[in-house]
This record gives sequence, C-alpha cells and structure tokens, in this order.
Amino acid sequence: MSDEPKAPETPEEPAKPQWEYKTEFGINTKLRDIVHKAIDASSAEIVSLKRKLDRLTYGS
Amino acid sequence: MAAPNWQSFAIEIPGKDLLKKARNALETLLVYMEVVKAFLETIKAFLVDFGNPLKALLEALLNLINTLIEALKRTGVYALYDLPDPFTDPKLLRHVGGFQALKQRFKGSLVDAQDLNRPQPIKGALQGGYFMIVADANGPARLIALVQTLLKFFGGEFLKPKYQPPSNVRVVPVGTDGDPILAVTKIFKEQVTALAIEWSLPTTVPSDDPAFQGLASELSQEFFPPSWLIERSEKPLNNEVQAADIGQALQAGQVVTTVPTQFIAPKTTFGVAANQIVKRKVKVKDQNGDPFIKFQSYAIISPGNNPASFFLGQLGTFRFIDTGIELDKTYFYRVRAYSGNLSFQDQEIGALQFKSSDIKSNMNDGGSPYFQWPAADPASPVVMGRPSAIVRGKVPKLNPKFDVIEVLRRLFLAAFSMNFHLPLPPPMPVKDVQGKDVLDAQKNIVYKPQFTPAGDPIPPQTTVEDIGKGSLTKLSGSIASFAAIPYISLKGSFAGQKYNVNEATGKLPQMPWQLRRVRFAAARNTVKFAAFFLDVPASVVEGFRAMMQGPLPAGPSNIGTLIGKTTLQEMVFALTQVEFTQNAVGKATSALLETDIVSTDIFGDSTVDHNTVATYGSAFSDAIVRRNLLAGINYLLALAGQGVPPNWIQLSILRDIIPWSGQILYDLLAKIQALFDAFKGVIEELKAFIDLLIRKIDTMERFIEFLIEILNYIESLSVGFYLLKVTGLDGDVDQWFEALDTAQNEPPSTYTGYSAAIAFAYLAIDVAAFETAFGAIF
Repeated sequence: MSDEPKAPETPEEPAKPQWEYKTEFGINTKLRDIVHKAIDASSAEIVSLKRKLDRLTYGS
Repeated sequence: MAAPNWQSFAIEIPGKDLLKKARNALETLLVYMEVVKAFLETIKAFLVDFGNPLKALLEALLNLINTLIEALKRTGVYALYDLPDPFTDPKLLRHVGGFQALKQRFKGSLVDAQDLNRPQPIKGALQGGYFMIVADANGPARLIALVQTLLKFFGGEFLKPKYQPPSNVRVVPVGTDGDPILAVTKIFKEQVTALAIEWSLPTTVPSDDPAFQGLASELSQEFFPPSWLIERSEKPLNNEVQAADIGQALQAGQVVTTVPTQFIAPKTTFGVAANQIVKRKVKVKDQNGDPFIKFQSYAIISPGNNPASFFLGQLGTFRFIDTGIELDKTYFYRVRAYSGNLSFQDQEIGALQFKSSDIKSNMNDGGSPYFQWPAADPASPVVMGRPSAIVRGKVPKLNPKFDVIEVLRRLFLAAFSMNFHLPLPPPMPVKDVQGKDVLDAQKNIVYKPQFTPAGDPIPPQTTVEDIGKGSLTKLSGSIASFAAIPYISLKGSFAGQKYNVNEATGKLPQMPWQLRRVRFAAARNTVKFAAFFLDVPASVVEGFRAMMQGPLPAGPSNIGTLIGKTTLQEMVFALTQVEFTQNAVGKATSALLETDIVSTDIFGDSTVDHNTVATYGSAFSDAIVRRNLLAGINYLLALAGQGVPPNWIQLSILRDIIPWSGQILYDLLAKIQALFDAFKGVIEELKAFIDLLIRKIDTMERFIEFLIEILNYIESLSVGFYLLKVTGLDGDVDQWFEALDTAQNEPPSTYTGYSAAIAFAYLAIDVAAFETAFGAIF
C-alpha cells in the first residue's frame, strides 16, 4: 500500500447508489412512450389515407 | 450452503447446461430484442414511401435496441438468481428473513470460495458494478407472485412464424396471351399450352399470444409477404413413399417410415423374425405437424425467382404460369408460403433435392419423425408454412381437324329439329284374350315393344317420326313444349303450306334450327358436354370424333342435300345449313369495328335455302336419318347426361332468361372488352392504387391493434420491485459490500418478511457498454 496522498487525483465523487422503488423497467417505459407516439402517428396516417381514398373513390 | 451461486454468462458460448437460468434469461432478452428489432425494421421498410413522423420514432427505438444488442453481445456478465423454487423449498424457508437476510446471502455469494463463477473484483485492476432487482414481500404467496411477474420480463417462449395456408387457390388454363380462359367453349377453339395457378394471401387471425411474437410474425407477413413454394405432381398423391425413396424425383405421395415399437415378436410373424423388435409404419410430418406429402417438382416465387410474379402478387393475387406441361395430363398442385433460402437454384420448375437425412426425429415428441426442409444454409433453417388444399388442372389435347363445339351444336340443333326432345307416345299394354292387362311375374303390366331391335318403329305403337323421341327429353330445358313441324318436303308441301316470303313481314318463315330458343337449348347442351370433355381423357373426345367423322352408323341417306354425305358431321351440317346476310346496321358496325359481325337478330338475317328446307322435310320422316342422329345422341348420353328425372337443368342467364339473343350480347361484350382493353392499363393502375391504399389502411389499423397489444403486454409486466444500480466500482469486494450497506431507501421488509433477488454484475476493463445496456434496460 502506498502512502501517497490520493485526494487531488480522486475524480468527483459519484452519486451514492440508492434503492428505488419502481413498477416497471426503464425499457418498458421508453417502449410505452414510443408506442403511444406510434399510435398517434398511425391514426393520423390512417385519416390521411382514408381522405385520399375517398377522393379517389367519390371524387373531390 | 445458504448463499446462492453466481453464474457466468456469455452469449457466444453455445450449449453449456451449466449456464441454465442465466443463459435462458439473458439470451431470451437478447432474442426479445432481436425480434423487436426485426419487426421494427420491417415496419421501417414499409414506411419508406410514407414520409411520416413514424419513421423518426422507429429510428429512435431501433437505435436504442441496437445499442442494447451490441452491448449484450460484446460482453459477459454475472447473473445471480436468488429466487424461490417451490418444488425443492415449498415453504420458501430460504427466503424468510426479509431484505436483511437477502443482503447477507448476497454478500455471502460474493465471498463464496467454492463458487468459481462469482465476480471477484480486484482493486484498481477492473471496473465493475451491479444491478439488483429485489422482490420484497411480507408473505411467501406474495413473493411468488412478484417473482413470477418479474421473470415474465425475461422469459416467454419465442415461436417461429407460422404461415397460414394460402387462400383461393385455383388452376386455370391460359391462352397464348397469358390471359386465363374461363369459357369452356374458348378452350376448344384455341389450343391451350399452359396452366396458371392463382392464389391470394392467407388471412391471418391474431390469437391470444402472451409474448406477442406470433403477432409480430403475422404482422411482418403483412408488411413483407414471404416467398412461395409451388408443389406439382403428375400423379395422384394418395400413394405412400418410403422415407428412403424421397430422393427420387418421380416419387410422390405421403412419406412414411418405420419406427421401432416397445414390443418384441415372440415368433416369426408378418415378416418379422422371432425375438426381433416389432416396427410400425408412421406418417412423416412436416414442421407444422401436417402430414408430409412429397411432390414431384417444385417452383419458387420470391423476389429472386420470378420477381415479376412476386411483386405483382403484392396487390393481392399471386399467379404462377406453368408452361412445362404435357397436354391431356392431369397435374396436381399445392401452394405454401415460406421464409428462408431453400437449397433450390432453378429458375424454372424443377426437383428439390431431398435426402433421407432430411427426416429427423423430434426429441420433444418421443422421437416422432418429421421432415426438415433443406435449407441452402443449414445454420438458417427454412420456416415452411402450411400448404393449401391440392388443386388439379388439365389441358385437353385437341384435334385440329375436329371443331368439338360446332359439331356438338349442330348435332343438338338437328336433333331438336327432329323433336328428339319430345316424349315418346305412351306404351300400350299387352292384353290377354279377355282384354285384361297381362302381368309379369312381379305383377307389373307388360307393354308392347315400340321399336324393333334394329330401331325401326312398330306400327301402330310408333311411327318413323317417333325414332329418337324421348332421347333428349331430360335435356330439353326451355323448349320442352316446342314441337318442330316441317313446312315442305322434297315431294311437296305439308297441308298446303308454302316456304315463301311472308307478305306481312317480308321474311321467310324460320326453320327450327333458326329459332332462338332452339339455338339456346343447343348451345346450353353444347357447353355442358364440352365441359364434360374437359374432364375426361382426350381419347373420349377422339371417340366422339370417330363417331361424327367415321362411317354413318345407320348408313348413308339418299335424300336431297344429304346425298354424298358420308359422315354424321357432314349430315348435321347439311341439315342445319343457314346463310347469313348482313343488314345495313351489320355492315356499318363491321366497318366501324373493323371486324365481321355475324350475329343475327340485329346485324343481319339468316336464311335457309329451299333445298335444305325440303331436305329437312323429307328427312323428318326418314328412318335412316333419324337413326343416324339418334346414334350420335346416344353416344353422348352414354358418356354423360344420365340422371333420374326430375333433373336440374343448366340455365345461362344471358341465353335462357333474358329474352335477348345471347350471341349478340356476347358479341357486344367482346367489343366492349376491346374498348375496355384500350383503357385497361390506366384502369388497372388506378384500381391497383386504390387497392394499395385500402391495403395500407388495413395494415395500419392492424398495426395500431398490434401496438395496443404491446401496451397491454407492458402493462402486464408492471410489478412493484426495488432496484439498486451500483456503478463505477473499482475496489475489491469490500467496496461492493459498502455500496450495498450504504444505499438509502432499502426495501422495508423485516425479519418476518420474504425477499428474493435477481442480480447482474459485471467486471471488465471497459464497462461503458454494460452501463449503457443495463441503464437502458432497467
């Protein structure tokens, strides 16, 4: 063991680990967020496609 | 030993049973990621032309998943499962003592010298960290429930995509221009040389699927339809093929093999020697559990082979044209979807090289034999879908010198003109000397014969004009009540009638074969018998040709225009001769459409010359002519058209119900078709575009349903748990303990509680990838 002082070389202290109470994993939260956005975007896309189809079928 | 064991984990190491749980869980996670990634990539490709905000979202998710996969693949981790096992420890005694006990077990596992797989941090040499997921409960039942939900995240069986059988499979003959021929009559007009097999995409019905892999695969089929395998055989498939013979291309049928039973034959029986194991025959199945039926040849439709068919098929109906067929031979076809690369290189229809080693044993099913489709790369097996029903097709061989349709039509016209459709006069009972009916042994009335064995009438029961009557009664249809009456004969007129132009109409009277209803009845029966000829070998048609073009069955006739006619064909043509004269409308229409319009009723008139009319009048009462015609009709009736009255009759809406000339309507339709063809390209494109839009909407709606399924699945994973992330460790095991001891907000269970944990730990020189992966997942 060396007696050399370590203090100046020590990087800034990382945040102390602590327990978190969670109800789901992080990836599921992200996935849910993206799925919600995908549902919104798909619904908008369907509306636009249906409008296009109506125009083609019945004329504008 | 109280402390659970650490297990090392590396995804690249195959088949190490030691790794069991850890391997299962993390590998499952990896596969989960791969499935989601593959699914998202298909959606992304599908959205190429959409240019919508979904793409950006999908990119984001893909990047995230890519990072996870790469990180997980590159690294090895340690996994600790401190989970209850109700089978060996039903009271969960190992997990009693709550979180504090769990903490001690965790610490113990890190210093368990007998556990060679434990992480062994070395101060200053390696960086490390760990993630602990703790289920904390106040009773064993609750702990089990928590752990089950937690494991669901890692577990789940990953199913292979299962392609459903294609629908609407049919075989149709195609003409030289590649268009399907749907009219029976047209097949006999033009020698067909190819068969087209058509089918539609299978309909997928989503089912309950907790891990939604099935849904993912079904949906990806919607986006990326699979390749298709067309199976063909020249012989019926109700044979058996021994497994050892599947390499022989010509063999076709259900593949069977023998498997040993648990029995030993005590004495020689059925070819089994005494004291030998009895074997039994079993059907080989394919990967879907359906019986494996080997066909003789195979063709592929995929973006690589037959790209035109493949891409056209995306609009809904796939079509494969089989030009390598022999005439007058029946072919059996089946279609199925598949993915992967079959070891099959031919562009055209050809044989697949099967080896008896392709038949493998399913060790999850007591070793039952199944067929593994040969893949180009054995490392990536082919996923074969379920087959369609077997359909068959045949192209008849036509004699160019024999116009089946026209000869049939003329024969029926002549027969109807001779009243063959009218019933015979009722038979007369035989009377005894007392004037009573004579009965036979069965007490049935005995009737007098109506004809001699040679077919001549026996007056007074029948006359010459009764020959042939009754033969077409069952086929008369709408002319059942019509009776043909000749105007004149070669010897003069009947009852003072004349065959002259009617002063009121300016037209000649119409002969029976000119009448619309007689023409329709003849055409209907022509189609019926022509359709029958399509189903039977060409030799039957050839027999009919011999009848019509061979010597006259009842000898030649010396009446009028029939003199010198040596065949039945010549006779019926002469009897039903008509001359067509185009009227002004016909001429103008012909000039406009640049083709000769030959329909009567609107575009012109048909007339019958005086000689033909007179010949018909004489032939009407001629036994030879009648017996000749009857021979032709009887030949047809012997082949088909039998049945017990009352019979259903075939009606053609255009010909029989709508009071218009079917022929003219057909001609007009043909011309409309010609005009339509000119615009066909544009219309087809528009139609295809509309279909594509509808398909996209449907697919997007299913996509949303799928997304909602994912949401439901995510919800089902919700469970309360405690998570501790410890990163940036570079000390020895004491530093790991300290991190655990000093972490705040620890799970609250006391010594009466129950705790279980899953921990993942890593130790490496560079831990950035681990931290990214675990940070993203947990």
